[in-house]
Amino acid sequence: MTYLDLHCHSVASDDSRATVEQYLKFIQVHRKKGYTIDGIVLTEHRKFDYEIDYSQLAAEYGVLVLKGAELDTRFGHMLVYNITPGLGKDIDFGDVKMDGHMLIEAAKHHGALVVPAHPGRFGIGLVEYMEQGEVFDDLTIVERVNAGSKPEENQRAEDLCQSGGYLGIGGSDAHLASHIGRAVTKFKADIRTEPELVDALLSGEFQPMYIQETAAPEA
Amino acid sequence: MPTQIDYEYDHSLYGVEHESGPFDVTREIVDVYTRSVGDDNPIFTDADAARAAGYADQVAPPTLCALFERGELPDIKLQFGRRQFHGGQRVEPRAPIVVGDRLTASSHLKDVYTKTGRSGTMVHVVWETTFSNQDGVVVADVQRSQVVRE
Amino acid sequence: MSDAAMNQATKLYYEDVDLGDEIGPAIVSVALDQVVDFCSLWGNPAPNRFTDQAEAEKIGLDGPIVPGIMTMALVSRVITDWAGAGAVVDLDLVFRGTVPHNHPLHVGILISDTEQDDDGNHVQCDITMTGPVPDRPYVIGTARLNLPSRE
Repeated sequence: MTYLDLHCHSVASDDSRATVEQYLKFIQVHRKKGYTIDGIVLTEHRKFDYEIDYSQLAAEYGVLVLKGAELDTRFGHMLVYNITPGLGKDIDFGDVKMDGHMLIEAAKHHGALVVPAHPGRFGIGLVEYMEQGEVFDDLTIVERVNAGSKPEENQRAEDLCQSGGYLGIGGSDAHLASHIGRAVTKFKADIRTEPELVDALLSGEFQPMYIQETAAPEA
Repeated sequence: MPTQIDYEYDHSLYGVEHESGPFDVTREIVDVYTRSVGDDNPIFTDADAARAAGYADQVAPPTLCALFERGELPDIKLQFGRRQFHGGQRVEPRAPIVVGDRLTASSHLKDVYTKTGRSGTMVHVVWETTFSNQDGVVVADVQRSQVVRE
Repeated sequence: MSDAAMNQATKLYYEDVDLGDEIGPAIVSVALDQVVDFCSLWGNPAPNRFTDQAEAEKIGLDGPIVPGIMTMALVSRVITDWAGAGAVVDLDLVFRGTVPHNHPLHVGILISDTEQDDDGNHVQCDITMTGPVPDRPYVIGTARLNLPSRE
């Protein structure tokens, strides 16, 4: 079993004010309260750093650190997991008006996976584009619980999952250290790498939850 | 390196320091500033209390210098958008600013980049400014992000 | 500033805070006359989106809003009220939404990092400003403090 926060931003994103180390430090605060967070996936805005290696920090704090991205598209923001240099060649990550369908297709081709972020968010979520008639039968998973969204926006995401049969993940969308882990995804599988994360997502054996739900039952 | 974006603007502003000022830190400015935000810390409202704490005079609250940027930053002639709003502000106080100080500012364009949000496409224009006092002492580094919307 | 002076201008010691501590929220509210005062300082005395209903509506707002720079001054006040006049070494805010007048604004401070080194006793605070419902914040950001030690 693995509990991962699948959506967070470090200072590499323009609007975040938390370093990766501060996230890992703050996860210890959550763990002291009895909450379970095994790792985080950094999803920086509009970019991906192939070189940067957090393994030393990860080992120091006992937290798995994986890398993804949150890309702007014509159909809202999309989380991308298991990014490869091949995908980076086919897609300009900085293009804020890229075609979301092309991203989904290119990701599939390169072994990555696209999950629309905060689909219920007003003005920018996937639901807005669906209401305008856009069809997304190239998607199976959306972000159902986003701890940075309003309750009514998460409700719209919930409704989308119910009506459209989408599976849902959870993530904090943290931009501050203390917001890390506020929502996570609980996987049945043990996950150590980005390809394993994609396999676990494709298996469908996961569920989103808020941090309070990760507390181990009292012995 | 500035971020590449699809909209035209004046790239010649990069690498150029834009000087402005002087800005006099008067007692009236500090008093109105503290009163308008309900700040009653004696260090910021009372010259005697400030002197007793080791300052030269009544101290300006740490973010006051950001007032002086207004209207001083050059137009980047961005070919996009109509509405502007304030997207972010950072102030790093480096030394106390006290009543009687005369500040000057040196600003440069840091970056211009595009993102999307609830209100559509937005262009962020980021300026960095250093404020110095009459003795040439750097008193604050300030960063301002102005957002232009469709 | 000498260490003695810094201590006198500071109310808080490094040993007073722990990672994960929450302070507040402090509740502040801004009335029109305060914004008018602030705008007079700021070289913007004429009716504008910060002080005038009609001007605000012209640009699609429900009503006049608090200027970002004044919002920052309010956040700064909450921090210096708690930590002392000389404690702040960096205040870095992102304005995510418009801040209305005459509305309870909850300013929360959460200790998100602490570290001691040769340069001092560093405390990072996560800052949020929300309405009464802890919804998406109007403002998020961080404040870095350098605090004296009791040791």
